[in-house]
Amino acid sequence: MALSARLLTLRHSPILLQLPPYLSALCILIGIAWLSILPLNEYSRQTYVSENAILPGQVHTYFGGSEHNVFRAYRQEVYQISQWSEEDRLAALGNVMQEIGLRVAAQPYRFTVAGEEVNGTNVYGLLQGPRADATEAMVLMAAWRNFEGKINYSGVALALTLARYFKRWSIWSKDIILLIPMDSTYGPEAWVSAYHSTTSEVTTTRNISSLPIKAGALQAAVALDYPVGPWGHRFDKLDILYDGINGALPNLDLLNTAVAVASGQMGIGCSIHGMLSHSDSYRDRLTTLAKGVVTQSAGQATGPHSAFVPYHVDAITLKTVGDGWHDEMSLGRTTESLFRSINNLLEHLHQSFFFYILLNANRFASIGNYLPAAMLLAGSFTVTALALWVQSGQVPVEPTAKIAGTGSEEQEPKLEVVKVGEDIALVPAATTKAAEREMLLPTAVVLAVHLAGFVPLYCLNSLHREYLPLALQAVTATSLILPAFTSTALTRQFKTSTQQIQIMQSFSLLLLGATLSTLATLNFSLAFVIGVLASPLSFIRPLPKATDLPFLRSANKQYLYNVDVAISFVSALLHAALSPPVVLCALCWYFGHDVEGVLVEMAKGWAAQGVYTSFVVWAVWWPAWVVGGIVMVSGAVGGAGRQ
Amino acid sequence: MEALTKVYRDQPKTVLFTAAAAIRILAALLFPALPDLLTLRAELSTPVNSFKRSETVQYRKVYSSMSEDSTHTMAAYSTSHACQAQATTAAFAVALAGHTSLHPVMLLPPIGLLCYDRVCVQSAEKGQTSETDGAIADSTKTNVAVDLRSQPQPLQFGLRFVATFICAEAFLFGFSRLILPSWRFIPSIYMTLLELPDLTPNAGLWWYFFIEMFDAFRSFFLGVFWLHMLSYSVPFCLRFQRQPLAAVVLMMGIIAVFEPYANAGDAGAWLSCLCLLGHLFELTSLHRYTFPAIATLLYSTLLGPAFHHLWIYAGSGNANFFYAITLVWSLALLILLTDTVYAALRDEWEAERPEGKGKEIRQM
Repeated sequence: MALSARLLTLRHSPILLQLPPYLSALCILIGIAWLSILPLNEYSRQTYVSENAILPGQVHTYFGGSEHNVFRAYRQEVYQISQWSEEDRLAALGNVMQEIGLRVAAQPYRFTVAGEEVNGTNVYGLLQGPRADATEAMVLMAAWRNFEGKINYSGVALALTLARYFKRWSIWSKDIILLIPMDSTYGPEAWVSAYHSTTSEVTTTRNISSLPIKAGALQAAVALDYPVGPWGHRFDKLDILYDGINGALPNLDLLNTAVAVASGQMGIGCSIHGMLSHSDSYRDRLTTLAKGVVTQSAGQATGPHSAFVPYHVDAITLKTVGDGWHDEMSLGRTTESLFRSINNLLEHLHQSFFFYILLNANRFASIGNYLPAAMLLAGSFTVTALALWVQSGQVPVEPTAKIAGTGSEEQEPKLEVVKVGEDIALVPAATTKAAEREMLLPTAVVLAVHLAGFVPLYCLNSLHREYLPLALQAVTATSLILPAFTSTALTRQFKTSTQQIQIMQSFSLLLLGATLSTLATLNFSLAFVIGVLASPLSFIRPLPKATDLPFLRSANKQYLYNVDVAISFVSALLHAALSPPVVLCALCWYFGHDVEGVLVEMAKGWAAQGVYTSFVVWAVWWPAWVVGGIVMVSGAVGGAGRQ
Repeated sequence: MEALTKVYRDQPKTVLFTAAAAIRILAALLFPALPDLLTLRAELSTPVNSFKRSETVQYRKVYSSMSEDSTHTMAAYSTSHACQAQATTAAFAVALAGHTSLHPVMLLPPIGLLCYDRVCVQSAEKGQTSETDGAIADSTKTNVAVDLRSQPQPLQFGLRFVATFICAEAFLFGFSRLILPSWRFIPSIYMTLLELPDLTPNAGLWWYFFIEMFDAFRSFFLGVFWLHMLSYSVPFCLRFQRQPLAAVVLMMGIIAVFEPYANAGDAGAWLSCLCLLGHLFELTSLHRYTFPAIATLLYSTLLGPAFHHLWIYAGSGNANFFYAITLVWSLALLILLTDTVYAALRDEWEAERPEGKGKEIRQM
């Protein structure tokens, strides 16, 4: 017999039907274990600058000397105007830029997020590169308030000083845009979205004026975060922030260039995710990786640069951290050298990786090494979905002539005689037979639950911020009741069969698996985290009745009832603990965040920046969880399900 | 619920069309931005069906507004008329479909076959009823020998069918010339399909291949691709002589997968047409890979837009990402197609040998 024929006979083997849960569990275990081996030297690489044109740190930097005096003057000026009203301050910033010799413009914007209005104005100036043909530009950015809300005195002053200094050079082959947004989230978002659109459309959540001055395609953006007042403060390290909206990352070359310039040329240590002391041990690498995964999976902005990344503009924020001996001039020289490198680019950054996980400022794991982790997790759902589909097509054969009271008879495996030509064989009788699947009800339920997911999504993203915690409580309560309620309704009203329940779960898991594997290509970390949190859904089966358990056959009724209640209670508790709202609250508690603050951040991300994390939570994970609950409860309320 | 079921049982067509129209109108009213969004999707919008993209080509404008939907409608209409043994209207509908987008012409042989098949059945029934004068009411149920001499001649029928098609096509060209100022619409419509000037990514297999192609080989491979698609039409007719409807539906599948500007709409229309072969579903799902193939379609439906986004907008992917997914998409469609071929052949075989029902096939 040919191999293919042997394989074909294998597909009716009962072992094949027993296998999927173990296969699924194996996928999940390997998937999770996969991330833990990434920090090893064998599975990660030293970063390297891939683009030849960049030449990081190859130029001598001249920022220094009298520029220091200019910087101090600007810092004093910035401190002065920080005392003024917003209107005067914007005018003053505009004036300073005008004096430097930039073409200055302002862009007012308004966002409506969580029932609150956010107004602000971006001030920016264009330095036309002496050798530029207005087709390419780079952005130097210093938000007036940094991401923590502190006034970015030294950052803004340094950006102004650098602009004044850059203006004197004749080497710029790209225009330089100096951007001072009023805050670190809305301002950059308003500016970069207006920069890339031809019309300014007013919607309910945003009203952004178009930009009066534009230059060419943005090649890179660098933001400075140095919130130190006129008294000055020496810093220890540069923390490089690189996460964009929805986990999009800037090209690794930009990061490498920044690290190479700062640590190689200027001797400033670089850190990632605020890991100030990084001993490059396995533990520290794993911590950095975990922090990266958490930040990326949140998908929220991490700094003023985040808004740029989805527009295919590579952007980073240089944030000063710690107490050390580096001063503003070192940061200035770093920025100068970084801009010189970007200025060297002949084409948009494309050589290096766009998908990576950093383990250290100079060590990374590339997509080929880490993607299988999320894909295995997503695959575990697909495996179970396929298995359930196959199972749903086979119903057990009705036992023929079963005599009550003769328990011993059932233990023997049923055999039947098969006669092929001359040969006669005794083989185990088939215990299942093919059945037609009833798919309408399962499809309708899965669809309805997915549509229902839009209710919490809408509520949590459009209500006023003071009602958000209340809305979350309502969603939590409803979520916990919904599966039991739906399941009871389905079993009582529609008399759902075991087969329909299997098909329902199969469809739900199939959709979850497909969505997560798609998501893994867009935002690996989010897919991974949701995959881990949802992984128990593969193993949910209708709750067994105590009467069906073989080892309880001789127990009395009251005892069986107690066992039923105990099983239901424990599984309901476990299931509730895995529900999206409960996990959300638990995560807030673990990371020490205020629930309301997190909800506002999510609403802000959704409304202003198009962060789709909440969509994934409520329209992908939540429905799968609800269907899991329906499946689980169906065993307890169903009584004898119709076969 | 019960009232709904009752209404549906009484007037299925009315309910179906009302529901379809309601969904269409609701979608337009609730999501006014939808048409703009959809025309931007690479999987759906191609130069052949997109109104927006056709603005550069003068005459396509007139056609594109009606082309895509009407092609499907006409193909279905033609099939339905062929099933009623109405050769003239069937040929005219094929001509109309082929007039707006070339490849439905490949449906001509299977549809002609289907039509001939029905004509034979009808004439046989007529002969029987005239012979027996309705004495035996259930004569159709028993197998009665059919007088082959009374059947229409295949060659004669074929010639008449093709002649009808040519006349209809000629009429349509004349009519088009009447409403349009010149004959230039002919190259602008058919050359777009034949020469593939627009290589914008779509769900098909052609664009990537012809992007990579050296210009010297372009016309050669255009010929190869078109011949490849053409080459299925007649073999299907020969092999599925006894099931002409299967030949029509399979040819539609071939077109949906291999046409130059493939899109999700054509694939969807074909998948709906698979319902015409509903009696084969049991065989395909029992012996073949329907569920994995449909799961693969689901995967590629989700991954396709994601990879297109990564390539075109995010800039972090490249053309190979999207092309890989169009390959997977086509592969899944082809698996469905081959499964249908298997099921149709197996059905034919089981009709001959009922004892083989439900048994595994082994190579001896």
